[in-house]
Amino acid sequence: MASKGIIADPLRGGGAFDDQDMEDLTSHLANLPAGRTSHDGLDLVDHSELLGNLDRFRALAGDDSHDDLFVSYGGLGLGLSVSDSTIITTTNYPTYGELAAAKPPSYEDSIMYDQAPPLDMHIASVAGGDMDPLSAGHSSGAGPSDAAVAARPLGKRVSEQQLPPAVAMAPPGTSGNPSWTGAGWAARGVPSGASEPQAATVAAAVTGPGVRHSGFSTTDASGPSAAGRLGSLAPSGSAALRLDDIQQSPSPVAHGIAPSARHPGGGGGGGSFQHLSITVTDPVKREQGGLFGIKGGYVTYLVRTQARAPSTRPETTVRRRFREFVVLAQLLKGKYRGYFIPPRPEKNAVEGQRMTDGFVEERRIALERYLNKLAQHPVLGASEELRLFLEVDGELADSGAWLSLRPPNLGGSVLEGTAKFSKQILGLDRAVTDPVQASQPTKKATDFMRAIKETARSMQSPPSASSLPPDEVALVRAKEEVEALQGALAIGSRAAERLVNGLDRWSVVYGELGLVLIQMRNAEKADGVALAHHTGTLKQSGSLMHDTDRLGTALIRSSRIGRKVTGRCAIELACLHEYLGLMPAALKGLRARDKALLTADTVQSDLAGRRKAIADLEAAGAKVLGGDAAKAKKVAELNGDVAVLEQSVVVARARYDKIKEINQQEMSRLRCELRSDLLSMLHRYASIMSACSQRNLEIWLQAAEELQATKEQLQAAKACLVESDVHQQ
Amino acid sequence: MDPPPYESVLQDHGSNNFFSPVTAVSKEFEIEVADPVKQGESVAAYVSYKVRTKTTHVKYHAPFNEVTRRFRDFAWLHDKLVEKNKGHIVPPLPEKSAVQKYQMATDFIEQRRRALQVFVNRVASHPVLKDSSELETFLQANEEHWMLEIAKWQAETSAQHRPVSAAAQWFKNLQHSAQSLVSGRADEMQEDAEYIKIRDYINSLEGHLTEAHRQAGRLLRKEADLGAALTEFASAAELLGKQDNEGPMRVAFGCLYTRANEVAALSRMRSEAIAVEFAAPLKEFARTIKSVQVAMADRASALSAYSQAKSDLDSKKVRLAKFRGTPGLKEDKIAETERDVNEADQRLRNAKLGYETIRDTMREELNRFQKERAAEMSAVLRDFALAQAHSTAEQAKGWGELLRDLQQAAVGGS
Repeated sequence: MASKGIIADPLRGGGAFDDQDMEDLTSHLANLPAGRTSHDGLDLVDHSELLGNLDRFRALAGDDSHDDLFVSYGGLGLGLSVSDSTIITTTNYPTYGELAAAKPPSYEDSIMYDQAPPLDMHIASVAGGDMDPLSAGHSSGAGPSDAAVAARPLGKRVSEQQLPPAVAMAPPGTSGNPSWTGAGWAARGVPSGASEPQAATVAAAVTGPGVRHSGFSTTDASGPSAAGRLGSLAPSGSAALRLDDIQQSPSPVAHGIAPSARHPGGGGGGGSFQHLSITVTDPVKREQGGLFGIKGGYVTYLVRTQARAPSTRPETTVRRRFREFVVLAQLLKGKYRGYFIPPRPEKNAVEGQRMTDGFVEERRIALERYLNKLAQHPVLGASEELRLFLEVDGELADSGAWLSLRPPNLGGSVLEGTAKFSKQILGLDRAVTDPVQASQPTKKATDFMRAIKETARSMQSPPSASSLPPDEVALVRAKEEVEALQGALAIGSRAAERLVNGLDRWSVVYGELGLVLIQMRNAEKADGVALAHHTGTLKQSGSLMHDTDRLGTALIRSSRIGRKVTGRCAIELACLHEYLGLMPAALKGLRARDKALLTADTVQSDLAGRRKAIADLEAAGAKVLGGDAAKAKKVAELNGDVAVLEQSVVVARARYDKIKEINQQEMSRLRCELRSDLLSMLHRYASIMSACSQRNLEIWLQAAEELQATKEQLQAAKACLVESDVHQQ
Repeated sequence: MDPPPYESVLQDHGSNNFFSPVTAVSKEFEIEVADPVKQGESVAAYVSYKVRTKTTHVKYHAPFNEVTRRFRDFAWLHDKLVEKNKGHIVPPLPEKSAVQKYQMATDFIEQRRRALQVFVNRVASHPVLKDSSELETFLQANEEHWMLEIAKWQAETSAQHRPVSAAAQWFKNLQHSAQSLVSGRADEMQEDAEYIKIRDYINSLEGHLTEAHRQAGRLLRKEADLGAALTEFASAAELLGKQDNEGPMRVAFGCLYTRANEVAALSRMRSEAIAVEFAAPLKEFARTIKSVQVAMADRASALSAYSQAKSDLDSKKVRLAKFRGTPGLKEDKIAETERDVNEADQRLRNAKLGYETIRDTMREELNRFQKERAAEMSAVLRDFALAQAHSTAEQAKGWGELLRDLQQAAVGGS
């Protein structure tokens, strides 16, 4: 049982490919959400599922414990234990340290061990929550070991305090500023393939294993929650980098990803909430006795808010339950008409599921992302609602300030509405939209008369495009644009999902084939010796065992890279799902303007109708000499209505103009952010895939070499890369 | 730019796949199975192949020869060789696949053509089988002669073997194992401990190889799926790019479309290459193990005949002794029993010889099998790694170019 220790700690011990690993693979396979290919059509019902999947992907991405393999390859050698009786001694194979010492670090190395593709440090920060401090250190290694050394304590700090990377990144921002920009986008404008990133690689090679380890201890320590965290940290990480971009790098490449143009409302706003990093952690279940002995209960989450940049804002921590998130969303929805409000995570209808750990974790991630999205919004991020939500101690329902944010109850209850409606029918109530009402959207449930009028109005032939002002026309077009975008995003996000699934299955099968080969080698070792003895072919048998083992190992390594890449891609491509989720909100914001316009038009026509009535009455009254007292009274009443309506028209117009302005801002913000986010997503995706294939190439070249391929064969295999490099130069 | 096909790369640099161990061992024969042509209609349809032989073997008069053969004819060669060469590991035939046969899909035919070519080359490189008259007939017999042979064979098999063969074999095995139980696994005890270990190992190896082949099959399907998913994603991304009325997204996603399609094409090619260069050889290895098992079954039945002859002799000896001890028994009865004993003794000697011949043959065969297997398997594994390296290099190139495209687009756009 010499290998007991190794088996007990498969993550550290160079990977014990035993049953556990097999189980791991198969359970992984089993966990693949089945039947998720059935998104038929663009219906929005899918969104919740898509977003749910997204979170599952994130969780999947967090299933990254195998990252350690590469550490172990580096630190502990290539020892592979397969069962109790068989351990390949590590001495036969060079450890990573030796490899690094033996040959000059290459481009592949930097990718292989650094995980930070040369082009892009966003990748590391966004994709690998736990990684980014490290990779940041590495990639900024242009100022060689300083930065790398800086990265070391930094890694430790993260592991000790579990700080989100955004905060943890402040130190390198200060200590490594020059190199940051140096190694950042600007300097990497046009990489010349292999030569340019070498400097960074040196640092990576020097610090390699050590730093790695400190980094991984983060993963280990935080265990399952790290999985979720990885995903949930993503937005904050990227936002942090954006901030850095604004402040430090006016690089030409930044054009495409140009964050500086992103927030027209609050680029550097000191008091704005945009530069907050919000974490949602530590779900606590509260059991409550429900009706009929059904156990009810709810979960509260710890919401912690920190400023990203050094600021006077102190860190705040509050406990919130989902219901309070719902109220927050309602308040925002009611108050911020015309804005594209990020959608709140779905409610869950099934009571029983609400308390399961998996669901709580999914919701935790979703809530964290939701709050961060809100905080990034130029207006919502600075809203009083969000501020109170993040800052008020205790239950929100107990807070006077919070309660005062609730909208005044204008139209009254349904009951009042019904009473008023019957009066309006009988003509007892004047059914005049007063200015206060005109500034509010129609409440179908409580103001039937107005709803009926507006519906009738909307039934009339819509105003032709030519009669509309050009900015209104532009916004009508915008709606079509958003709808088209929604369609394209739906297709894109489904394709992305399938791609991620495909990658995932691909990696699993690689791993399984690798395991089969390793098992075959085991059988060979345990029983094949008999045949080898019998036939005097120990040598051949030995070399076959070696070859089988090497190929099996290469397959498994490739599989692990594949799985990691799957996770990274899932996180990157999630961008598509997110925007898809935002599209209904955008459409809703645009519809708010339609409605406001409808109200204004209805009030206007009401006004016109009454003016006409007055004119008719006056015309009729003029003929009858002396007039008619009843008629005069009616005219007076109508004049009163007209006065009210005139004010209402002004208010409704103003409201429409306001929403229109908001719509315009939001549209340009959406276009801008969408473009920059999708472009940087694409960039990161390309970087990930490039890094993945580079690392795989490394693995396969090494494997082929170990399997006695000749130099010429190896050269031929990578010939195309060399050609393309030559071509580039 | 299309990446170069794997075949050309592999050939250019002398990397052998799958066949070369065979041809490298013996250049006496070079046999090509080519030009599959579908003959006949519906149920009676079959595929004929041209079998072209280039040889330096003394028994062959012409250095070049070409005959037309179909799968059934290869089966003739295989069965005859198995029948006449007990204890030898006769190279395996590809499976008969009733379902696929009727579909006659081109890739199935191509797959089978390769497998048949491997089979016949393996026979021709086998130290004993290459000299067999069966191979000579197969490679050289003209149409008439060949039809005659086949007719004879079909008559034989339908007369005795075919309908009963499977059942008879099963019955024989049953009988044998029952006997083994009764006699306290007498054969096992007579068999070398070492051989038993080998036998168990071979049996487990078959499982491993079959599993490896199954996984390789999944692998190539997943590789193709991934390619398809990537193509789909590329199209979706292009569509998304078109939503942006201004340039940058349109250009960038257009680049993605182009490059991702290139990489997807690589995946598809890789999938096909895995089928030919990895999955098919693994399958053939698994089949070869089955051939080894056939040889082992021959050995087991020879041993069983031997031990049966022994117990027969023993019982006859006992009977003789009993008769001798019984006074007043007729002389001729005793003489008859003595004759029986002598006959049984002769049978025992024959059985012993038969068993020992097979045993010795197998020792050589296992040796050859082991060496060939190790070399071939290593070559297949190495070629797989090389082809993977090649494919990933192409992929890396594709993604690298995408990155460059994107950067140029970003710089150009600013």
